[in-house]
Amino acid sequence: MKLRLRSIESKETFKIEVPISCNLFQLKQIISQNLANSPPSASIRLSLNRIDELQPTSPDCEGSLQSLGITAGDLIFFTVEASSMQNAQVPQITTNLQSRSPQPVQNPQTEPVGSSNCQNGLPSDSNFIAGDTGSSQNALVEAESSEGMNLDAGKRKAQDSSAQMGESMDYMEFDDGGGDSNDGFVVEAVEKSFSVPGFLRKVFTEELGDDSGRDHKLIVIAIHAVLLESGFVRFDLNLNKQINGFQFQAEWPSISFKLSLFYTLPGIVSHAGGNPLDCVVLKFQSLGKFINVYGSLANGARQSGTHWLRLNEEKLVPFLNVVWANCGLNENISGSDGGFMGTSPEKEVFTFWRSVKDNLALPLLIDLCEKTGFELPPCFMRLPTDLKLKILELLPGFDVAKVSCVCSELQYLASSDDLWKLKFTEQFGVEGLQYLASNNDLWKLKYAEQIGAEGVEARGGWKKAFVRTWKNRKLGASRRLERPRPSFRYMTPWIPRIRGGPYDIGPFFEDRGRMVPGRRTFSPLCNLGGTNSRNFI
Amino acid sequence: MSSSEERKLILKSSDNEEFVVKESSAVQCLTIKNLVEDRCVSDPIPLANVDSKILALVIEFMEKHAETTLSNSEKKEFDVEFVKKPFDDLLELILAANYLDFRELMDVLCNTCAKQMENWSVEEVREKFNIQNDYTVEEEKAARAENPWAFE
Repeated sequence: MKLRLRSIESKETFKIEVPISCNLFQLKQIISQNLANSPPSASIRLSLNRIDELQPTSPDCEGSLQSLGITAGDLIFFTVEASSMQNAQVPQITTNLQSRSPQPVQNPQTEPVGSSNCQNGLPSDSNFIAGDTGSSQNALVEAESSEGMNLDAGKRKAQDSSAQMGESMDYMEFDDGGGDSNDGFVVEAVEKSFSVPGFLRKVFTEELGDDSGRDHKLIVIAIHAVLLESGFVRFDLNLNKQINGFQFQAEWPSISFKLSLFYTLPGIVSHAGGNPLDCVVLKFQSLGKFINVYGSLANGARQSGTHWLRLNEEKLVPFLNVVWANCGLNENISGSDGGFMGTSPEKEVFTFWRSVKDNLALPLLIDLCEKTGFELPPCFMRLPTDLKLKILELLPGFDVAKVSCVCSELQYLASSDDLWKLKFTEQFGVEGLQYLASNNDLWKLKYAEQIGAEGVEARGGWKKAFVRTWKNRKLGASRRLERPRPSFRYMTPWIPRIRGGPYDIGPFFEDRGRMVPGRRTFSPLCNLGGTNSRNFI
Repeated sequence: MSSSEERKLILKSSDNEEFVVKESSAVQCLTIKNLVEDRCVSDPIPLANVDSKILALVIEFMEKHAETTLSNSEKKEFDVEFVKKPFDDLLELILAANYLDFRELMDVLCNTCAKQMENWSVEEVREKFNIQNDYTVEEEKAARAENPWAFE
């Protein structure tokens, strides 16, 4: 059978012909022969979706490719790095900043197209419920591929508008073809999209341009963005007027980096006329991998303290780079889900925003307002972000969504995935994870058990899961009585725990570099029963 | 006899008003408790972030909850009455409770806040919190379109 092999790094594709009974090991050997430098076949990693590695189904690699779900005409990605697949992805993200990345997105969320894409996603779920194809094992796969197809439709729309064809079309073809033959693989194909926080997008695109953001620029601009979002404007003490835009110096010293920036409020500028203004000053100081930021009132009033924040630049800059890479594109690069970084860019940026806001922006805003007698910002907005979050945590999910329509800061705050995870488990509890798979079928129940908590994150985040489940619940409530409950007899002969690959209970990307992912333990909230628990019904 | 041995603390608000409280009540506020334990107490304790009106309310709550003779249900009744205040006062109280690290008060206040917010529409939230709508018309439409299920 003919197969197409594409290198993840170089995007080059070549075609090979392999016998149908070929196994994984033989395939790797053939690939190795086809490559210029003939790397050892053991160092070749194969994947169908660039996330999960293809693993042999039996330890001695005898299983044919067909047992892995590979059929004629399939596109297989390969890399010859010794490290994990996830590491192979990262160079793409950071080195392809200028060009459009060929990694397509499944569900761009932040663009207006994205919001209509959401609409595409939801009807597919409800369509599937209406369809209710019964208890066949493929029901799940059909749901996923129909969801995948609808997402593809949305993606095609996005891509039409942004004129990004070529590689992406191949990927879409793969999805359509792969959906039927790859049970369980299709789950991974629904990638989590990356949404750029609004306060960073504008500032990054305006100020950073094509520069690689070296010499602390990235972090300084990011902090500047948080201050702008809090209502400050930059101010030039010498010229005594407001500056719009950042206006970089030509050269920034990278060693012993020191910088002072002045900020004030637009209202103060308009009121004061030509008089010297009260403003706040931010002083940046670089210390190795950390950067210290000191904020205080510029006119050195002794009553006001200095507010201080230390940021780990070394840790933050990669995440900010991912954000910046996403800023200039209409589509979103699928952000690293943190397999090797241990956390997601969105979470890190959110934490960064919160710490700058709570430690610098808000206190400085309050100090400046108190000194100048200017009206303080509304009381609720003056609360530190953790208090605001605490109040949001006490609200039911629907009210959190309403609150996010109030203003952009609250929207960003309410977009925290951890918050939505909490809302989800509060609202739907253990049962809710059943409804994640839009049908109360045995396979789907097991699927829900399989994906567990981390799988939700891989499938677009907790907020989406909340919406999906709430919709399904609403539609399914009337059918609940009709749907037969699976009995334990049906449940007990569960699929044997296959280690590794997509059939394992843990997603592969959780792995920390070993080729065989270990058994993952569920958190208590996600204990959905199955063979060991009787709390299923 | 015990009351004469009871240590008292003086708390000074940001507008220089002084309040005398029992130490046993005041240490419900972890900020004050830490000061006392570290023996950093200078009489009076300045609380720069809390004004007198709010501090008086905090002290009222503090003393009520420190009373061991009261049952939990009586304390709850007091709480219900306590939070019947204008919203701005509640928010100022939250800020003060956060500064003083007074967990019980925080919980009561945040719960009240959330309960009230539950029934509000987007416009009501803006009005009652006095939040500026910084969306353009398109942005607002997009934000609502993202969460249509919340408006059903």
